[in-house]
Amino acid sequence: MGACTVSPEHPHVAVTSEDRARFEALVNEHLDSLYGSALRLTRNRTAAEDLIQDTFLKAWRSFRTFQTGTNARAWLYKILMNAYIDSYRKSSRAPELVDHEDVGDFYLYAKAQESDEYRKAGDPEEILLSKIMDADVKSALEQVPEPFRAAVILADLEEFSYREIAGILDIPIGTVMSRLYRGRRHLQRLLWDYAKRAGYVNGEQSNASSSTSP
Amino acid sequence: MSGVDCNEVLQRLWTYLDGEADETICHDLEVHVQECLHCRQHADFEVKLRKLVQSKCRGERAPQQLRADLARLLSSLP
Repeated sequence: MGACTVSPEHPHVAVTSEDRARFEALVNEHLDSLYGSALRLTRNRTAAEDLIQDTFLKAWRSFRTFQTGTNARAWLYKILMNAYIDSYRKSSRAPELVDHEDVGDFYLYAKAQESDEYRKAGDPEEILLSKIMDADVKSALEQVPEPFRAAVILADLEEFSYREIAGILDIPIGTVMSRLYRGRRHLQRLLWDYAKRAGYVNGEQSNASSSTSP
Repeated sequence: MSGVDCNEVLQRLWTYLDGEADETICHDLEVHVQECLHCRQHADFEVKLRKLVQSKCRGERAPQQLRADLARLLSSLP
């Protein structure tokens, strides 16, 4: 109704300083979290920075069609994920989809319960968590193959709902769930390996400390 | 006692913890997890693990240079 309504036949209305100010506010509000996700996705600072520039360039171009009041964060993440998937397809990287045997949903919990060492030491779950605390969790997450890693990042780090993730990735909710759960199972298995490596202070694993001594 | 057994609860535990369980079963899951130590321990562990992963993998800050580059890029765009 107001003077601000842009009719679709006239998309080339001049950009106002208000538009710029609104867009800058969006950049400031969401840059850190988008950058963090870009880093976990690309696993590389330069690639993450390129991805972010690409994302905001595309976001600015379609900013006119973005309605204030709708979910800006989900809108930006959709652009980020599209740009990421595009760059990913273009690169000659070998497909990451090397899927190992699947494990159950509660792999780590089961591993903690099975461990005689943890059980003897008291609360096995807490001991395992403290070992994971000492491990390189970022690297473990970055080892989760695509497309499962993206689902874990969007759900577990960015806390988008299943419905929002379905919109961001343009996939059905059922696919969101299967990717997410598969991603979590991958992550748990990786965390177990990382925690084992990080946690050895006693010589339980003989070959871990028996490197060449002069 | 609630109308779901441990198998059903564990099958839906991630969906439940994500706040995405179907409304019709959500209450039953909640009651079961409160009353059943076995399922509650699973749930507590998954929640703690999620928080740990968040604490280690979130909180990145975009580099100042990127911020500056973006500002320059955006101001140059029509």
